[in-house]
Amino acid sequence: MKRQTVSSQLLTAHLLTGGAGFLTGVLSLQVMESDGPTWAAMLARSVGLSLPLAKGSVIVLFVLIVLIALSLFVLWIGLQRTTEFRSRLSLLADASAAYAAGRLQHQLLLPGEDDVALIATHVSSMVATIQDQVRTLQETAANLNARQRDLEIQATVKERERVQRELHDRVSQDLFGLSMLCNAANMQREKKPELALALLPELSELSRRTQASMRSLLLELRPMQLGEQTLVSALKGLTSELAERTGLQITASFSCWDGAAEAQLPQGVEDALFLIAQEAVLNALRHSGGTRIHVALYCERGRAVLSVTDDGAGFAEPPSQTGGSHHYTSVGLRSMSERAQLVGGTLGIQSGQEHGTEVLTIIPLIGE
Amino acid sequence: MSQTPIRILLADDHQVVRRGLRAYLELEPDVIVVGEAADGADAYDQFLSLLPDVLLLDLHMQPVDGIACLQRIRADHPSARIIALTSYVDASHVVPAVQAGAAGYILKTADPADLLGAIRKVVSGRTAFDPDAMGALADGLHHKSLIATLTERELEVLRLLARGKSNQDIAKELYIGLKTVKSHVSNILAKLQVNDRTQAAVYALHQGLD
Repeated sequence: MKRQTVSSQLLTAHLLTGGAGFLTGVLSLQVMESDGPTWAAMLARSVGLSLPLAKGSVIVLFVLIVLIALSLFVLWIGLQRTTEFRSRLSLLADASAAYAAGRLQHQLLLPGEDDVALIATHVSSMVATIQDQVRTLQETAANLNARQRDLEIQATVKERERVQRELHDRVSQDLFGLSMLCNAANMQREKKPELALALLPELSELSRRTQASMRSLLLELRPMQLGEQTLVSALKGLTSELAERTGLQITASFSCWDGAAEAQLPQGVEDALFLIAQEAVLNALRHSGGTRIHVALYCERGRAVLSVTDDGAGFAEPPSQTGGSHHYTSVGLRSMSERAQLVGGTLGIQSGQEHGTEVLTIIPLIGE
Repeated sequence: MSQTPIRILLADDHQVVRRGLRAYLELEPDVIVVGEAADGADAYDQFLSLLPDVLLLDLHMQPVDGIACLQRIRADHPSARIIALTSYVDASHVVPAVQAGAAGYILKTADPADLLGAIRKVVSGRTAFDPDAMGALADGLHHKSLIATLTERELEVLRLLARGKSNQDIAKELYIGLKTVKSHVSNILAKLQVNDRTQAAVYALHQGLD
């Protein structure tokens, strides 16, 4: 109903002005047919109609003038309305420009019953909704930041405890035993040298073991972030470094990365893939007992796939997966799975007794 | 030496440690290692059957740890002579060990001769505490007194904080407002004389608050 108001008003004004013009034309023709100049003719001339007029056409002329006046009046009304309409429209335009520029607090007040007022009401309520959403978004972001900070603190505390525990529980115990044995050997050196000598192989073995447990602890103290590196160079670094340290065959391969045109994955995806790869390789080193570990990363249209395989003992029963969500009991597996899920991906484990293990991560990529 | 030998029971979950200790201690003519246990329950059983003169007890063992073992043995044998032999020298280990009645607290970094000296002291009815352990004990008692200044509510908040909960989580869990949590946290920081919540959390963990 309201929506029709503006257009019908405009149409009326148009018809009225147009109609008045038409009538003026018709009447002028009639006037042309009469003859002899009169006051009316002079009047007509004074308004610009220099036409010959017949006697007795005064009435006609009068009607003509009235009609002209009327049409001018209607034209004026129409103009008035158009001007008002345009000024209301420009208020609307100003407001929408302000909103587009992000000034959501801009007030849009257009009282009335017409379509412009209606549009203004709708726009205002839309803007109010957007304001609410922005507020919610900012609160969520703030909460998320706080949560993130807490998680980082938690992780730091946990990591410190873990390192401390590892040092105490492994390295420090071995060193204590080693030092006791050394002392025992040393004290027997003079009285019973053969006993001291007999302890030497044990001492050597023990120092080798201590070194190994120190090294494995160092392995675990690895950077947790990609930093400035790209995913590919970080994975290359990880595998070659671990290969060197452990003497095992740890390799990496990449497809679709050809140096020059290195596919750019979103930062979050790169971070997640790096951490998953690192955890999977370390898991394989710690638990699989295998001698070969391979990290393969390939990306294709719409997804990135990371596969970490080893030739170790494997699991008799792969960690259970129920439905779509994975429930891993081991903390390492769970955190890898969560990292994949955080960037919208999935992580699966394929394994069989004596068949090695594959950790397969698939992350969908959303194009630009 | 005609005196009766010192009979020692070793309890440690690391075979290497037991091996080293036995090799070293048995060099002494008057020392006999009568048994080895790999966890707290084993140590308790062996203590009851062997009744050694002294038990060298590691505190970190699975599934029954040294403190629990210490408490159980001392409950059954109030005269049992037990030396805690550990690599941990913080209040959360020293305080409960002393409270449970350990006669000695020796670190695994100690000089072997000092260990032997400690064993002899303890067997003769005296005590032998590592100076660092004494420091940790004093520290622990001091911090216990700091923690004692916290209100019940602040203690609850500190426990949750030590578990890594955010202020929001704490507010939800304790059914109190976020502002209240924040004011509790700043009171806790002031009372414990620490700078941030991480330190407070570490502090709480060190004091064995959980």
